[in-house]
Amino acid sequence: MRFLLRTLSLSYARRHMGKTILTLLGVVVGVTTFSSIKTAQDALVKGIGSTVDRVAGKAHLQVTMEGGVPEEIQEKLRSLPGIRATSPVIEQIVVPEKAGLGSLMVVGIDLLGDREMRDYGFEGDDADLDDPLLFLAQPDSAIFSRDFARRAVLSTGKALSLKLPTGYKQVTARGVMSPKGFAEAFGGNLMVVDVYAAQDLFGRGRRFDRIDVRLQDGVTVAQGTATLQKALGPAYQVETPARRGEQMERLVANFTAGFNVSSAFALAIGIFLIFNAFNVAVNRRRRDIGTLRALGATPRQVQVLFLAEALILGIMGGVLGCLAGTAFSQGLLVSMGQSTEAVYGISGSGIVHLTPAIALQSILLGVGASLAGAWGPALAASRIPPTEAFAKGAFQARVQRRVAPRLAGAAALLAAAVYFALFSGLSGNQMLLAVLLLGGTGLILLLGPLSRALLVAAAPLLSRFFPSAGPLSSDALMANPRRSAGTIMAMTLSLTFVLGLGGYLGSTKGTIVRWMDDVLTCDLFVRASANFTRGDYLYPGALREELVQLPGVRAVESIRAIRPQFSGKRILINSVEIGQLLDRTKYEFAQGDARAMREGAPKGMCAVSENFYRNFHLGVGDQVELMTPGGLVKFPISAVLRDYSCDQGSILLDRPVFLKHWNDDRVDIYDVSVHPGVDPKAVREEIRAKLAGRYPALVSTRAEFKAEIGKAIDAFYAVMRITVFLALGVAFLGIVTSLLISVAERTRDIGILKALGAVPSQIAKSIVIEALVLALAGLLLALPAGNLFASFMEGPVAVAFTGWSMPHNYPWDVLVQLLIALPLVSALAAWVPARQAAKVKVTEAIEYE
Amino acid sequence: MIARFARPLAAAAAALFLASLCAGTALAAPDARTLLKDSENRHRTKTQQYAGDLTVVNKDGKVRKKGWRSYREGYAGDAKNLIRFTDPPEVKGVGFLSLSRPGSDNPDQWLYLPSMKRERRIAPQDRYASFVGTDFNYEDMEEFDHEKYKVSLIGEETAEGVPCYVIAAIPNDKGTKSVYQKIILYLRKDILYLVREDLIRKGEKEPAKRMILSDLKNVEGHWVAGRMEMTDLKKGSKTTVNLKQITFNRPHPASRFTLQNLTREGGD
Amino acid sequence: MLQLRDVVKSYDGKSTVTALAGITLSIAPGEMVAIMGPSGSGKSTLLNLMGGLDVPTSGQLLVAGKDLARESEKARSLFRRNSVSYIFQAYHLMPTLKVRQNVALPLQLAGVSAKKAALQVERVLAEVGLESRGDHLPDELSGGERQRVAIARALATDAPLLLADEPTGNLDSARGREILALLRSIHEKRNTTIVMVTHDHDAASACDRLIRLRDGRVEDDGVVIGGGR
Repeated sequence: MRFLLRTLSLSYARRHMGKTILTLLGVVVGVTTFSSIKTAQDALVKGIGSTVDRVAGKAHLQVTMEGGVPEEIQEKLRSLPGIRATSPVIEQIVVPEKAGLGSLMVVGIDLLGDREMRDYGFEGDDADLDDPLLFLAQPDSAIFSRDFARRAVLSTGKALSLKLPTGYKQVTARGVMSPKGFAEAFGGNLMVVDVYAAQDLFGRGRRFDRIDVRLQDGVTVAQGTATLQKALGPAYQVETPARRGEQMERLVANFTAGFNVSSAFALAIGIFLIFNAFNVAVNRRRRDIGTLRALGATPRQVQVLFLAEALILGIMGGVLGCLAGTAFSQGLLVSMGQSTEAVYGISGSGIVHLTPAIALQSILLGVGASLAGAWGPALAASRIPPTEAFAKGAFQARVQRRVAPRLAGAAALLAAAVYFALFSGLSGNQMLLAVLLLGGTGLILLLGPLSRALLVAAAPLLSRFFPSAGPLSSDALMANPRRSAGTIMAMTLSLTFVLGLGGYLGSTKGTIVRWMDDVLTCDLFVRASANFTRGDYLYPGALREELVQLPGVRAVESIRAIRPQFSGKRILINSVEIGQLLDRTKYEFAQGDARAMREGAPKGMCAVSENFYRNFHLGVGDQVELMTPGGLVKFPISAVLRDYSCDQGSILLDRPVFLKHWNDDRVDIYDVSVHPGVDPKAVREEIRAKLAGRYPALVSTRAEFKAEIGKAIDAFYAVMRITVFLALGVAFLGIVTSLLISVAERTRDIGILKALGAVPSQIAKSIVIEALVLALAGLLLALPAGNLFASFMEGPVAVAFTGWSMPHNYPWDVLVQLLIALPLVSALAAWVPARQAAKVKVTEAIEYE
Repeated sequence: MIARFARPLAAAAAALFLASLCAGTALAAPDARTLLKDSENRHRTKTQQYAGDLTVVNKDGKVRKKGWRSYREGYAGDAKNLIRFTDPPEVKGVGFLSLSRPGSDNPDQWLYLPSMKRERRIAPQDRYASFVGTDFNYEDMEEFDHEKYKVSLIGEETAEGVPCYVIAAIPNDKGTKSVYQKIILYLRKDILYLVREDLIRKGEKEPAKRMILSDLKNVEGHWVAGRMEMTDLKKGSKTTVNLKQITFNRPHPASRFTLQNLTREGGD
Repeated sequence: MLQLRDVVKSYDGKSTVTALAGITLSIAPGEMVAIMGPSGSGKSTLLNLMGGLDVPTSGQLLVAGKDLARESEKARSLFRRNSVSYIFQAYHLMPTLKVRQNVALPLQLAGVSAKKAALQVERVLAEVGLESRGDHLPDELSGGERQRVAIARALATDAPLLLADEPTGNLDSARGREILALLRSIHEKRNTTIVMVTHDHDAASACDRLIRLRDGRVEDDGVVIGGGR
C-alpha cells in the first residue's frame, strides 16, 4: 500500500498539482475557519480570565456591588478580623488617541498601600516608579507596562493622549512596570493610575468598582467570605477572583458559542469540496483503477488507497489550516473583543497562541472531514469492475440510484429537525446542534435528486437561449451528474447560509429599528459614556433640575441602568420616571397594558420585557425578587412589554422606587424632550454649554442616537457577517473547482468539438454558461432552504438564546445582491477554466487517451 | 523618626546634671530602660520646627531633591507632627499629618494631595510602604516610644566615632504592628543622644536599613542632629535630610495639627 | 488449465444483450490459443471471463477444479493476481508511473518485497529488451515499446496464464511481428499458457490453436496449420 501511495498517488498528485491544491484548499478552508475561530475564542475567554486573575494579584476576595462600592466601605473592611489588607480598584478600558495601540486597560489602585496586593515589578532593573510623591501629587500620573510603553514610544515624563468620557486627556508616564504577573494583564496593554484620580477621570464619584481583600494567613476563603458577607449585607457580592473571572468567561463564552455555527458550516463546506474533488478523481482515474483491479488489486486495497490519500490530504490540510487559522485569529480576536465590549462591556485583549489542543483538534478535524468527504468516492472506486480497463473511449457515468428511499429519508430527517426546533425541550446548544445536523443531512439527501432534476429541466432552456453553446454546457453538466450535483449542493448550502443569516440579521435589525421608533421618541439623549452597556461615567441625579430649567426643554427623564445577576443570567434593570416615559412612547404589550404599568409604577411594581418573561417564566401576577443594598425586595409585575435593551431580559422600574431601594441617584442617560417648534440642535448647544467643563457630555439627537445603536447592533453581528462572506468565498471556490475539473475531464471532448469546427469563444461561452447554471441552480434551491434557516434562527434559536422572537422579514435585499453578485462571481470563477478550455489544442486532445 | 531624632536635647544644665548621675550609676551597669528614659527626659522639648532639605539617591546614583517644613508638638507617645512639602513646585502643598492616639498602638496618619483636594488615610497595613519615595516608611515617620518595645543593653561600642551604648529594642508582642523584628540603637554615651540605628525587618537576621544622625549641634540649648541619613542596605539607596532653621518651644496655633488645617491650601 | 461449460453472459440494459450464448471449451496447460471473430462476437467478453474479471450469467468456469463463477470478489482478485496476467490492446500503463514502477505494480500488489520486486523487474525488462528504458514515463515510449512494457508487467508475476486482448491492434505490422515473436518466445521458454484475442491473421498464425467465435458461439475450434511460425 505504501508503494501505491508513494508511486501512484504521489505521481498523480504531482501531475495534477492544480487540482490537488484545490482539493487541499477544501480542507484548509474548513480547518482554517475552525482553528481561527477556536483560537480567537480561547484567547478571548482566557484573556478575560487571566486579566481578572492578574489584576487581582494576591487578593483572595473581591467585594463588588452593582453601581459601585462606596468609599467608606474600605474603612469598614479594614477593621474586620482576619483581613490582612484591602485595596480599592477602579477598572476602565480606554482608547489612546494614537491609532494602532489597541484598547488600554486602566487600573486605578491606591499606590500607597497596594504592594500588599500586587507586584508591580518596580524592583527590577531600570523599572521603577521614578518619583512616588510626584506620581501622587499630579493627577495625570500613570504607570505603563514596559511592553506598552515601548510600543507607544513612552518614557518617564512623556505624555500620552487618551480618549476619555470627558474628552481627550493627556496622562504622563511616571513609571514603567516589568512585564510579569500584573503587568501582563490585558495582554500587557495596561496603565495604572491612582484610584482617586481614576474616580475623577471616570466619574465614579466617591465609589470604587471593587475592593480587593487579602486575608491573613490561616484564614480560609470561606471564613473570609462569611465575615465580609455578614458585615456588608446581601447587596454586596463577595467572590474569589477566580469565580468572578469564570462568570465573565462564561458570559463571553456563551456569546462566542454562536461562532461554532460558522465553524461547523465551514467544515461542512470543506467536506463537500473534498467529496467533489475525490469524486472527480475517482472518475478520472477509473481506467487506472480498472487496470489495478485487473492486475489483482482487491476492492479493499483500492478503497484503502483512496482513503490513505484522503488521510494525507487531511493531515496536510489540517496543519496548513491550523497555521493559516492562527494567522487570521488575531484579527478575529480583535473583532470578537469589540463585539463583547459593545455587548457586555467586557473587553478582551490578548495575543493568540496556537495551543496543542487546538492544533490536535484542527488536524483531527481536517482528517475527519477529508475521510468523510472521500469515503463515498473511495467506496465507489473499490466497486469499479476490472473490465473497466477494457472499456474503450471515455467512461460515461451510469447513474442508477434509488431516488425514492433517498427522498423519504430526507423528508423524515427534515421533519425530525422541525420537531426538535419547535417542540423538543432541548437546551439552546443541543437544540441548535440537533436541528442543524438533522436538517443539514436531510437537505443534502434532498439536494442530489433535486439538482439533477433541475439540470434536466434546464437543458431545453439552455438550448433555446444559447443555440450554439447551450447544448455544450448542458452536455457537460449531464455528463457527470455527480460532480454537478456536488457543486450545486455546496453552492446551495453556502447560499442557504447567506440567505438564512442575512435574513436573520435583517429581521433582527428591522425589529429593533421599529422598536426604537416606538420607544426612543425624545429629542435629545445626554449621556457620559460612549459604551451602552458599561457606564464609564455617571451623572449626579441633581443635574436633571438644571436641564429642565434650560430654555426650550419640555421634559427630562433620568435613566439609570444596572446589570445584576438574576437566576444565573445578567439582566438589565432600567429605572426611569415611568409616567413621563409612557406619555411619549408606544410600547407593545404582551401582557397588561400602559395603564396597568402607569398605575403600578409608584406602588413599586415593575414591568418586564418579553424575553425576561420567556427566560424566567415570570409574567403579570408574578413577583420578581431582586437583591437590593437593603436586602431582598419583591417587585410585582404589572406588565410584560416588547423591549430589546438586553438579550437576557430587562426590568423597568419607576425612578423613585429605584432610588428608595438602591440609594443610588446617579444617572446614565438623560432623555430630553423639547417644546414643539424648538430646534433640538439649539437646545443641544444649551446643554453642552451648561455641562462644559463640569461633566462629559455626549449629546445626540434622536437620529444620531439611533444610528449609534445601529452601529452597536452591527458590532454584535460582525462575526456573523464574516461567516456570510466566508460562505460566498466557499461558493466561489466550489464553482472554480468544479469547472476546472470539468474542463480537464472533457479535454478530449473539447478537442473533438474543435475538430468539428467549434470556435474558442463558443467553448469559453459554454463554460461560463455552465458556471451560471450551477450558480443559479444553487440559488434556486437555496431560496426555500435559506428561508427555512432564517425562520429557524429568528424563531427557536433567538428564543432559546435571548427569549426574543423576531418576526420574519424576507431578505429581499440579500436576494437582490445575490442576483447581481452571483452571475458576476460565477463568470469570474469560470474565467480561468474557460481560457484553459479555449486553449485546448485539437491534436493533443485527440491523443489524450 | 525624622521627627523623633530631629528633636532637641534637654537643657544643657539638666544634661550635665543627669550625665553625672548616669556616670554614677554606670558603675553598676546601666539598665537599657533607664538609659532611654534618661535620654527622653534630657531631650524632650514642647515643640519643634525646621525646614528640611530632602535628598534621595537611588542605587544608580540618580538624585531627587525635595524641601519641606516640619512642625511637631508633644513628644514620643503624645506627639503630633505635620510636614508640608515646599519644593519642587509639582509637589508643593502636599501634606503629611501624624497624630499619636492615646491608648492606641499606631498613630493616625494622613497624606493630603492638593491636586485632588482630598486627604487619604494611611492604613496600618501600609506602614511598611515607602514614605513618598524616600527610604523612610510610614512607620519610620512615627514618633518612637520606647514604652512600646522591650529593650535590653547588649553592649558598648564605638559608633560614628563616639563611644555608645548599644541597645536592642524588640516591639512588644501585642504592641504595634511593627514592620521590624528588632531595632539596634546606638546611644552616644556622653549625652545619651542617638547616633545610629540598625533596623531589622521581621523574619530577617541582618539589618535592612541603617540610619545615621550626624552634624550634632546645640541650638537654643538643645542638642540636635543637623543631618539624618537613612540607607537601604538591600536596595542601595540613601535618603538624606538636612535640617535648617531649627527652632524649639515656639507655640503652635491650636488648629495646626488638625485635618482641616491639613486639607487647607497652604495651611501650615 | 481452464474449462468452460455452457457459459452464458448477457448484459441487462434497456434490452438484454447476449454476448456469449453457451460456450463450452477447455484450454490445456502450455497451449497458445488465438480467438478470432467479427466485432460483437463475444471475444473480449470471453477473455474477461477467463481472467476472472467478470462472472458468467450462467454456466461453469473451472480453474483447477474450482468454479471461478462461484468465488468471491476477493478470491477472484487473488486469482488474477497470482494466476493470470494481462496484455491489453491500449497497453493500460499507469501514465504517471515510470516503466520500472509500472512493471513492479502487480508484484507490489501481491506484497512482494521491494528488493525482490526490483530484481524481478530488471529480469523481465531484459527479457523484453527494455532494460535501458526503466526510468522513462510511458508517454516517452513508442507504441511497440509500450506494449513491451505491458508484456514485461504481465511476465513479472510468473503467472501461468497470459491473456492478451488485441496485443498488436495498435501497432504497425513490423512492430506487431516483433511483439508476436516475443510472445511466442515467452511461450516456448516458460511454457506459459497464452490466450490471445485478435483480428490479425498473422497473430493467429503465431498460435497453436484457433477458436473462431460468431454471435456468442464457438464457430470453429482447430489446430493452426503451420502454427508457431
